[in-house]
Amino acid sequence: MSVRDDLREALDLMVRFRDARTEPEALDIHPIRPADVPADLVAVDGSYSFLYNLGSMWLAVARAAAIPYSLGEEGFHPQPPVIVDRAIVVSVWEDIVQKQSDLHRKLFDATSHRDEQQKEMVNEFRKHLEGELALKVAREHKGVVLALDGSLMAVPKELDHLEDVVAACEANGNILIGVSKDSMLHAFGRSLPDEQYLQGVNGMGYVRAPRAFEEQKRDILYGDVYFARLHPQAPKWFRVDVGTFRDDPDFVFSHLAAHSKSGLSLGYPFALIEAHRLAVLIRQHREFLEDEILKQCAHLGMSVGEVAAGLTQMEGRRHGAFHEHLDRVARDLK
Amino acid sequence: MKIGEVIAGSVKEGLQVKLQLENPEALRIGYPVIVEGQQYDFYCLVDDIVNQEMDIAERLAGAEFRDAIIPGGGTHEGYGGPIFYSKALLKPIQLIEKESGDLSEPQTIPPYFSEARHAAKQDVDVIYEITDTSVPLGTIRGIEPYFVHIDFAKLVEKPFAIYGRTGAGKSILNKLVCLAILAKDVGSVLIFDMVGEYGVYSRADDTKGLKYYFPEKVEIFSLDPKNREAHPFILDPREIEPEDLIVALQDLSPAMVDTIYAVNQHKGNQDLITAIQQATVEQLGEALVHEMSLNALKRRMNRIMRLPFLREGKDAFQQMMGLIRQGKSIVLDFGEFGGETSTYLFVANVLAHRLYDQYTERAEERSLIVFLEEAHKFLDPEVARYTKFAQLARETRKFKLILALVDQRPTRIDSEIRSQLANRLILSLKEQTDIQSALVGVQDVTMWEKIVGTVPVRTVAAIGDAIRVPTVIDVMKYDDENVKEHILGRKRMTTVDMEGVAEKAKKIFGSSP
Repeated sequence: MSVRDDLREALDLMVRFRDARTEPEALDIHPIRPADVPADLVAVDGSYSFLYNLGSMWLAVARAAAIPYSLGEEGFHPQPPVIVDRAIVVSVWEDIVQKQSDLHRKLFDATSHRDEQQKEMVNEFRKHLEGELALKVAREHKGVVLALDGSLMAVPKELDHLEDVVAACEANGNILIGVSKDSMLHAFGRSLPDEQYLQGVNGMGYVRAPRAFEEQKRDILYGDVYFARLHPQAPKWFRVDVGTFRDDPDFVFSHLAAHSKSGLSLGYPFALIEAHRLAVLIRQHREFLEDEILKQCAHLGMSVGEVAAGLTQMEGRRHGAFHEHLDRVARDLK
Repeated sequence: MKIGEVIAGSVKEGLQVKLQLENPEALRIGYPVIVEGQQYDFYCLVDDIVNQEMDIAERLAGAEFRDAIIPGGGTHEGYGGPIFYSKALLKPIQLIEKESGDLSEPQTIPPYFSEARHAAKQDVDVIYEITDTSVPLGTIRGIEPYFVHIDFAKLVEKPFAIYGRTGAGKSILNKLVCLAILAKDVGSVLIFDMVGEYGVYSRADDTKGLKYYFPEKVEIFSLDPKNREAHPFILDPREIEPEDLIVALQDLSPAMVDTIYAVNQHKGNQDLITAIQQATVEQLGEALVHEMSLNALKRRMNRIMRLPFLREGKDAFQQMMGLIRQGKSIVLDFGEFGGETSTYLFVANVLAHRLYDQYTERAEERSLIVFLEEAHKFLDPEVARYTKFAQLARETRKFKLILALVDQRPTRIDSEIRSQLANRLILSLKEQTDIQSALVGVQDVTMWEKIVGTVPVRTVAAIGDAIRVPTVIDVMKYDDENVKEHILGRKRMTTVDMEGVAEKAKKIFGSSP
């Protein structure tokens, strides 16, 4: 059999799987009426960038950013953002980790057995920072929508602040939601991911994921899982986890929909875009941070060549790593 | 008011500012802006305003949203200001040292994120000097009303020009400039008044003229014998030279021009006009003139012959010079000849060569500024060699005879003459070649080309040594109030004055019960 035959057979299989139907639950889609006087919304997001590699140690920086937005008839207006930037050394060598802090050990334990563990450790650290910042926002604001990037699931639980965030939001009357930009869930039991399955449903509304799905995740899930199209012209449905006011989803989605009316991002809260833009700025600061590394390493007696060889790309690969060399060779051979 | 922050820049190319204005229409080319550096305030002019190309804008344009917040001015503020923003390109004109207030040329740039704001009165106070001989022509564009002064003593030291397309406001500006010269007594003016604009009242729009505001300083001469209120203007035909005819009759063939010179050589004691009328081929010789050319010339001479002021009598020129020496200015009213270009060219040129002789041969003490409207008709490279005006522009500055060109087609003025101009007052021009010609030799010419090409009517770019920095000025409305307040320098009424008036009123009308 030729590879062409393999391809034909594979595609045939994929289409059959896509069309395989089990009778789904009838969708109970609720309409959304955007709030006339929307509450302020504070969006929280984070980002990270690797900078330097020395043996089995990586130096990275992470940023969490929170930006409050009020929404009036004339548009979206931010208040001053809160930015938390932190540097961290992660190691995948246990001897080193044992000499580091409790946080480092938790990061190491939570990510052991994962591929490219250093990336997972820094990513968890970024989520940890976001959680700390979300908790601060939840405690300092009252009557706002606190919108986090991603689901309200605590993985790993020992590094997370979600339980405290929910408690603080409940105490201060804040709506807590988590919006996932891309979800591959199959909660509705269809062969297509839920987002794609719902794509065929027109209009604006929200629908709760089947309870059975939530029950499976209950130990790590801090809320209820919904899918929502927050504007009639929104290009897609988003997974939205609701952490507070769980008994009144109409209320929650009315405020969230009001903040999702921007022509720039129909159906997605505009504030989350700005929080994201603010967070990823840390990646644009690399040049300045690399300069600091070069200066400090020189101060520590390292040669320029040695330091330069350790500088990494954003995801932790050394600039001069051998596979990069192979990639270039492969490209040149085209 | 803050309008944005510096995001890029160079000494050569100027500064880029990210605007924080909801609507870029609040800014215009030529507006003054201050960029606050650490050591200096950068006094800049707006060179351009730009909406940069954005992929997101391209995608959104034309989209139909329902119940959405349409991205636009001020609807979407991000952490760094508006998401959709315009940029301004600023050209630094002067540096103002913050501590001392000293001015210097812009040889550096401010740091990133330096704040840009509209210039305020206190900023321009430092820039513009008010001297004993300065007068405002209007207000600076883009600032709270601030009357910017031009030093008229400096203006009339060297030839200058007022350029502007038809309808741009040249006449109004010209009147203001003449009034300012008279008000500061920095010289006398001679103005050829083609349509009766400058005498007591304008025949065109009934506005007040030079004679109204300065009855003692202005004398009117008229070519029109019916005008009994003016001095009669009489031109002795013996003063006519070949070049006067060549300039006046601009449709002469080369053969006709040769004929004029041939007649001039043989005229003896006759005046040139009579000599031409009586000339024959036999008398001049067939080698020099041709029958047809001579006849054609004679026919054209009829235009000159019929002019009633061309006769022997009391020479108006010497009368004019006597008055100028007494500190007076001359308005030469063309009356019914105002619509005849050839008459204007003829008279102006005759006076020009007499003025040239007078000022170069005899050290006149009082400056005379000759306003030459339709200057290109005298200074076109094709004609310039026959007129004295080219020499006036080039040579007579040191003799206190100053030429002021007023024209709508600077391209057609000989480039060498344009290069003599020390100051230029440039109103709106539309032809690119005219804009370029008007601005030859100016620093930051690209910016000024944009400004001159886009300013509305009655807005003038003042460039030269009579003003400290090149400036875009909204020319003041020509009315009694403005002229008295700003040109003539009427004193504002003080409290004491007001009390005096009230006292008089009380005496006349009695106290109210």
